Amino acid sequence: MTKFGSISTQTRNYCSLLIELTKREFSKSHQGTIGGIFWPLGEPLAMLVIYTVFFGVILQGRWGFSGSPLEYGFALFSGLIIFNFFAECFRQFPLLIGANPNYVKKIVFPLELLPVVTILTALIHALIATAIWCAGYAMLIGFPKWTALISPLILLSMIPMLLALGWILSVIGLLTKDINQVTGLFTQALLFLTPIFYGLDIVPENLKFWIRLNPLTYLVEQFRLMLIYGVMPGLRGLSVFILVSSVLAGLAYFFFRRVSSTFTDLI
Amino acid sequence: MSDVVISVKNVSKSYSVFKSNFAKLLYSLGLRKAKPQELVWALRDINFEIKRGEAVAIIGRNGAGKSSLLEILTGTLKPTEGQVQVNGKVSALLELGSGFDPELTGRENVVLNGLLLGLSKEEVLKRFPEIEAFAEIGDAIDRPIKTYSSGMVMRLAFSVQVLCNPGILIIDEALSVGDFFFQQKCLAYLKKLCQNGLTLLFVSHDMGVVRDFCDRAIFLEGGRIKYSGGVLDAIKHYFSSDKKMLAAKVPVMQDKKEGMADKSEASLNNLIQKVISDSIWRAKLSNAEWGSHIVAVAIYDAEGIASNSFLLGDEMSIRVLYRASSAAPVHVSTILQNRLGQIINTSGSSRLSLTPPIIDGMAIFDLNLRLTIEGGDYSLSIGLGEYAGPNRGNKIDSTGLFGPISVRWNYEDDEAPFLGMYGLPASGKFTVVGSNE
Repeated sequence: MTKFGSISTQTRNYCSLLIELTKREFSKSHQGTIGGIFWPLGEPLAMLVIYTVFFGVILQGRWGFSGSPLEYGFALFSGLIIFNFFAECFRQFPLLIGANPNYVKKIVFPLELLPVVTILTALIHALIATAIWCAGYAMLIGFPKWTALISPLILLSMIPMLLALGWILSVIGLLTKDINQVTGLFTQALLFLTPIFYGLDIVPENLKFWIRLNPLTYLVEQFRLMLIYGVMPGLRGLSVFILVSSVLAGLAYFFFRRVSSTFTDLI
Repeated sequence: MSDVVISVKNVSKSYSVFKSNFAKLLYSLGLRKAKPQELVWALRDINFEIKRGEAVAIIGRNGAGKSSLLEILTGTLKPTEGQVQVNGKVSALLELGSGFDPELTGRENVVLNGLLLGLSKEEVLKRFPEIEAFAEIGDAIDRPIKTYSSGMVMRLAFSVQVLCNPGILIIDEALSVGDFFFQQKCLAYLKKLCQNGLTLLFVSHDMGVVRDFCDRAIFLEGGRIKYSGGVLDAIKHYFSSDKKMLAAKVPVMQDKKEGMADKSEASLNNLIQKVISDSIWRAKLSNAEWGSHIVAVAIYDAEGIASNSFLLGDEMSIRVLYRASSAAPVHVSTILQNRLGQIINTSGSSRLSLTPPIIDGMAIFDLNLRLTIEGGDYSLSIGLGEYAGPNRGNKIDSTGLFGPISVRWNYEDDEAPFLGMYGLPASGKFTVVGSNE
């Protein structure tokens, strides 16, 4: 067998392993429940209703634009799709390796796939949520703009960043349990430091800079522009974001492979 | 393509004890400032090569470094020093079912495990019927693994690993979970695979299996290879390893024998030395002031060769060398226990109504036992005692349990003279008492 041949079969095997593991992870999230497949669909739907009623009707949230409570709910929900995608991965990364000691000690397992599986599973959840958003929008407000069709592009562009975080955090999570407290706090803070419940326009000037430093701000804004306003994202900004996070992901991967030989001792 | 599939060169593995996990990580990143507090060497200077189609046993006591070595060969552990080269697909049964997910069904796990072993999904699905048939777990294949018994998990795990066509198979004491018949079936299957070029690395404490199954053996002690070569010699090393730990010095015989004038002193001394060198058990210290005590115990087969492995129904000779120093007769007794610690048989001079010599010196007691007991590993204990009434005695000395004594039988292919724990003396006959013709 040529070297190239063996590499390509290996890649193919990794891919089918990845698919199999993601399937497992996805089905696990609702397996054994009575609701079954309803949950991945029902959860975002319930969220949509709760946020619309609570923030749109009860709190009368000030968006910065004069829309109906319903429109506010949808704007908010679109931001949450991005945030939840991020948070779901972020919270799980530190736990990944510690939760699968057998994969480290007992069998030869490509551990670097674990964060990828988490990301893919969360991506499926986010895509379902996006579909529900579109369906809800079409029913209640009007047909979404054509750009909604390519809005998953934003979700996909987050993958390199999540990979970078995944490979780094899974190692740190193995070293110290404290990281779980930190990620918990961090996601709480991030929920409010990202313009999800508000528009970026109502943020005071002196704070705007800091809010903009948060990469999620950019992503949420772009996602919203595509879903609601039919505006294409700035390709330059997006490609810079993808490029930078890809470089980081590469470094993180290198770091992960470098230290992975010590996992057996660390676990 | 070279015929050597596993080549291990100067491999050492040390476990570093660090102050914290953080220091450990820094060290692994190349920051030599974070020095380990202590190094524990699990393996030292291991060198060996294994060729295609060989079945090699790795034996040694607990903590000898067997598992570390296997983990290094599988690739889950990196050696601290030295190189390991493995040519071929390694499939390891380090801990059965460790790649399984308890929530998934047997079927899903088989697919997942097959992928982990480097097969494509089509290949796994193609082999699935064969795997299912070999595991013999019936409808359970579609139930979650968490509902399985450990034996069922083991059956399924073994079936996947073996039928996924590995080039090199590593088995770490894994078969001991399965029932006897499944073990036999696995061993028979492995034998067939070996003939087809499978390289097998086998770790077991069951010396009977090691002897019957492997071409050669590597005996590890304290992280080093103490012996590498023929299976029988390696097993001998294994059994003598305990003595080495116990006996620092060979007892020196100075006693003058009385009442044995017909034998020369030299030949008596030879007799004593032979028991000691053949011994499976030996006293830690031995001196004349110690009173009555057991010096050494050797076990021979029917041909008079020191052995600890017998075929069911074989005669086993136990030779006990002891020192008597008592005015009353000193009886020798034996206790045979099975794996579970159940006493299978006790025998000895007092059971046989023999009269021991009343001496102040060395004596030998020979006991022959016919091993009509079921196949398995047994342990033995020898005691010295004074008669104190029917079925009672006062203990003077005891060896404690040692062994194993293996009784072998190929239950798969050969008709056994009996089934169950003992072979009772039996006879029988047929009589026709009514015929339709």
